Amino acid sequence: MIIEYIWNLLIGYVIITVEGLSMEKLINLAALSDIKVWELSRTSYTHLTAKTTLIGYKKLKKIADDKYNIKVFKSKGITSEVRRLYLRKALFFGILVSLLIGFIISMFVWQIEIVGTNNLSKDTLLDEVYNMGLKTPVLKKNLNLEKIEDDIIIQHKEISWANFSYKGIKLHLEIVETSVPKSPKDPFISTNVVAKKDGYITKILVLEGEPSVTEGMTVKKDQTLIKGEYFDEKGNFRIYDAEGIVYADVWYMGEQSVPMFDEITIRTGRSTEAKYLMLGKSKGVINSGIKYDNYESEIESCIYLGENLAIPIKLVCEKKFETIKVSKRRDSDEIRNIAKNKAYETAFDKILFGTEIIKEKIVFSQKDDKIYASAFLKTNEDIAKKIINE
Amino acid sequence: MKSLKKKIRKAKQQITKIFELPAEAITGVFRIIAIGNNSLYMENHKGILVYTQKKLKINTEENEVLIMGDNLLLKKMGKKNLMVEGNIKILEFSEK
Repeated sequence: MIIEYIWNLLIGYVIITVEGLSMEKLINLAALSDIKVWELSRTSYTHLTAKTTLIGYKKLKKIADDKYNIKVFKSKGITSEVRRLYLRKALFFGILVSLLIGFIISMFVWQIEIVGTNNLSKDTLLDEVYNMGLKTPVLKKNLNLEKIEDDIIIQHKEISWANFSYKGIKLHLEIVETSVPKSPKDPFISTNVVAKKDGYITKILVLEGEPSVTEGMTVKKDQTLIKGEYFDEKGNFRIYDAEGIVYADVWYMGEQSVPMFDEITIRTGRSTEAKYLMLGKSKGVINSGIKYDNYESEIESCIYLGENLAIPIKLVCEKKFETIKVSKRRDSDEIRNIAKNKAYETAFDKILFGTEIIKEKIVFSQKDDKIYASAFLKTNEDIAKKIINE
Repeated sequence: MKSLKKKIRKAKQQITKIFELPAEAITGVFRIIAIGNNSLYMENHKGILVYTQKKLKINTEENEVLIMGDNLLLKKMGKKNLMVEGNIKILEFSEK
């Protein structure tokens, strides 16, 4: 169906109106003569509209008597549109001229667009590009873009890559700036390298500045390791942004205690019985038995008096066992082990993640029924920290 | 002559029955395909007898087919087949 519709559009068709009597006869004649007619609609007794091809229309005219008045109401399809356009010469010429103008316009570059700038000013770069001979509008054919790209890279150290590409009438300049490592340092500000932690220096590497400590020295936290301000051999005052790596042995300590005795509850052997009546959630005591300070209870029996009632009633018998608390000595190996693990964890938590532990030592002591464990962990790490001199 | 035609037709009908052949291809009886009540396709017609927007009478080999409805449109009109669109209300067959 859709293919037929497209085909009709391609070859063109006409909508005709037929006036006359006995339309059925004409329809039958058309069908017998193999004239392609479709969408026939009888709008009134003497009036019929239909669609047919141009050839079909001519054939229909031939077979129809003078009784029928056949007229073309509208012509449709590409062929008829082309014919219509051909008849409207001014419009045809106008389309041609506009196409030509469009083509001529597209031969020029009318605008330059710069992308990829972060630190560089787009306007400055645009002015420079203009000075290199890229003044808009300019004919695309006359442009030597590769040369301009090279010139931009040579003239700007901050630009590492430049590329031109056409986007219609626009010239797209994409640039990539070189990553500048750091902004220039302030020459009047000096920094010192100090110790982050207490430690025993094993290695020192001075990149800039004057070292104030040597290998084998023990340093305290915040002690200056490398100076940024000093007098050189000739007596000239120097200001530096001190920098260096200082490795030191650092000990971390963690201490924990564990009690030697455990308090446990035991039954004395004495017991009593208590009885009470439960009405819903309310409790009514029948016999409370002997009162103990500390006891454990067990429900011995439970009799439901009205299980199916809205508020169930039950009789509860509870047995109470008297208890006392006694101290029990724990296993010494177990205590030492717990204390050791706790102390180790405390010390380990203080160490920066990823630092290698090169030595460890556990010391035990006993005081006031408690076992104390002290864990000592040794690491070798960079303790250098930079601070600005005021 | 008429009786001979009838005899031939009967013979054709019997052949189609025995060999289970499509009747519309051998005997030339009409075939109608209706899609809902909006579209109707017909094969083996023998021309239109009456056509208005409310009524369409089609001639066939043995019968006359009457289609009644609203806004009836002859979507296709060929030598042997036709297609009707519109709001079809009545479909009636009558012997000639």
